[in-house]
Amino acid sequence: MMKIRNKFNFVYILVVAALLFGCAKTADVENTQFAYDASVTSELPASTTKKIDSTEDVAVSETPVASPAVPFEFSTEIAEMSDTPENAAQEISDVQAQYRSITGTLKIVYLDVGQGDSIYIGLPNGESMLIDAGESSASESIIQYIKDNNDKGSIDYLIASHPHSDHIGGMAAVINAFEIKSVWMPAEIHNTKTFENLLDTIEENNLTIKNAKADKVLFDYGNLKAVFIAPNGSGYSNLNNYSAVILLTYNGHRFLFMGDAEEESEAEILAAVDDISADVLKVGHHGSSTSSAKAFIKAVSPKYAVISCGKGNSYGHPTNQTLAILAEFGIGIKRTDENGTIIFSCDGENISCTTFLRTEIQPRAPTAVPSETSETSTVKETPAKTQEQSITVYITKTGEKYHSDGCRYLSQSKITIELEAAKQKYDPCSVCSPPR
Amino acid sequence: MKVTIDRIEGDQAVVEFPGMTTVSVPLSLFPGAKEGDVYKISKDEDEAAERKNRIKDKFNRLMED
Repeated sequence: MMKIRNKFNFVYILVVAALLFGCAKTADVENTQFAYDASVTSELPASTTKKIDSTEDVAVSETPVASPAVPFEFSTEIAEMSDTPENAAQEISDVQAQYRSITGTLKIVYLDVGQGDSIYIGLPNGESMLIDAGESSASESIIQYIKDNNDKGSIDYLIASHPHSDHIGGMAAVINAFEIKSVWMPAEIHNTKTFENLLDTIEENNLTIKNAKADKVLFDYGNLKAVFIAPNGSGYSNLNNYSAVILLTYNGHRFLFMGDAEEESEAEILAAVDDISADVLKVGHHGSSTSSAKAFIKAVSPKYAVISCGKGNSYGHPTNQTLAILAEFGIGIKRTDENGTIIFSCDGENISCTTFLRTEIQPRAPTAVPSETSETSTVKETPAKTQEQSITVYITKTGEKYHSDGCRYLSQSKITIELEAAKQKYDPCSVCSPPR
Repeated sequence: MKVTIDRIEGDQAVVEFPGMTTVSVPLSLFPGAKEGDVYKISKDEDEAAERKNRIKDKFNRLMED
C-alpha cells in the first residue's frame, strides 16, 4: 500500500515542476504520462485531459468545469515550483502515483437495507455517489440517511449496478428526492414494473443514462478515481453478470464494489484487469455461492469483505462456502445483517471501520450522544459497544517488528497491516512504540 | 393479474406483483421460470364450480346422515 512520507512531498513537487516545465513545449505523449492509468486515458473527462495536455492551461489556472478546485490546486503548486533538479526523471511515475491533489476523508457507507444493496459514498472532494438503492421498502431510510449526511441535496453519481429489485427498488424515490447529476447503469433492460418505473422517473427528471461498462471512467481526479471494470461483455443469461463493478481508489487505497457479479463476470475481470487487489471488497451477490470464486478472492485479497444482506433472508445469503473462502484468506468480514450499517473511512492515509446497528425504534432521540447526532436518524447507531475502530500499523518486508507511521525503520519498506493481525506475528518496535 | 419474475435465487423465484412489491416463492410454483418472464394469474371459475360439484357428491356419498 502506498504511503507518502511527508518530508518527501516537497521533493516530489519539485520533480513534477521540473518535468512539467522541461517538457512544456514537447509532445503530448510525455505529458499524458500524468494520466493516472494509460489504459483509460482516452476516457478521461475533457476538463481533466485539458489540464494534462498543456502546462499553459495550468499556468493560467483556468478552472475546469467538471473537476473543480483540485486540478486548480495541483496547477498552482506546479506554477510556483520552477526549480529544476536534473536527475529526477525516474521519479516521475512515483510522483504521479503519490502526488495528492485531493485531501480529506472518503466515507463509504454500506447501508443496512435488509436484503439488498445500497452504498452511499461521500467523496473527499465534496461530491457524492450512491451505488444501488435496495428494495422500494428501503427508500425512506436511504433518503433519510443521505439528507442527514449530504448538505448539498445532490448526488453526483447515481449507479444502478443492475436491474434487480433489491438494487433498484428504491432508486426512483431517490431520484425524486435529490438533484441527480448523472445516472449510470449497464446496457440491459428488465421486464419488471420496477425497472420501467425507474426509466419513467429518469425521463420525468430530464435525466439520461450513461452506459456503465468496463473501462468507462466514472471520474478521475488523479489520486481519487473510480472506474468501471465490468460488465466486460453481453449476452449473459443472468442479469447479475451485467453488474456494473466499480473500482474506487484514493491515494492508492482501493475499494471494490461488485454488485451481484457472479463467477462468469469475475473470470472476465481477472482476464482484463492486471491488478484487482483491494483493501475493501463489497462481496458480490450478497455472499451467494454463485459469486466469490476462490481464484477471484485470492486475486483481490482484501483486508475486509463487506456482505450486504438481510437478517434471516430466505436465500441462505451469505453461504457457508463463501464465508469459508473469505476465512481461508484471513479476510475480515463485515455483514450488514449482523453489524448493521458499515462505514469505512479513509483519511488518505489510514482506513478505519465503524458499524452501527439499527435500533428497533427510530427516534431522533433527545438523549442521543451529541457526537453521534451527525450520523443520522433512521440508521441510528447503538451505543459504543457496537462500534469498533481498526488501528493500522506497519511492517517491513523482512523485519520482525511492527511500527507506527513515521518510524525510521519504515524508510525502505512500509506495509500496512491491522494492529490485531500484526500482534499475532510481530512484536512492537522499541523505537517508535506503536499501539499494542 | 400479471406478475413478473424479477430473479431466481436458488430454489426460489422472486416475483414482482402489481404495485412493485416483490415476494419470494418456491420456484416449483413457476416451473422453468426465467427472470423477466411474465405470468398471467387469472381466476378459473369453471374449474372451481366443477370441483365443488365433484367434491360435494363425494362427500355426500360418504356422509352417514
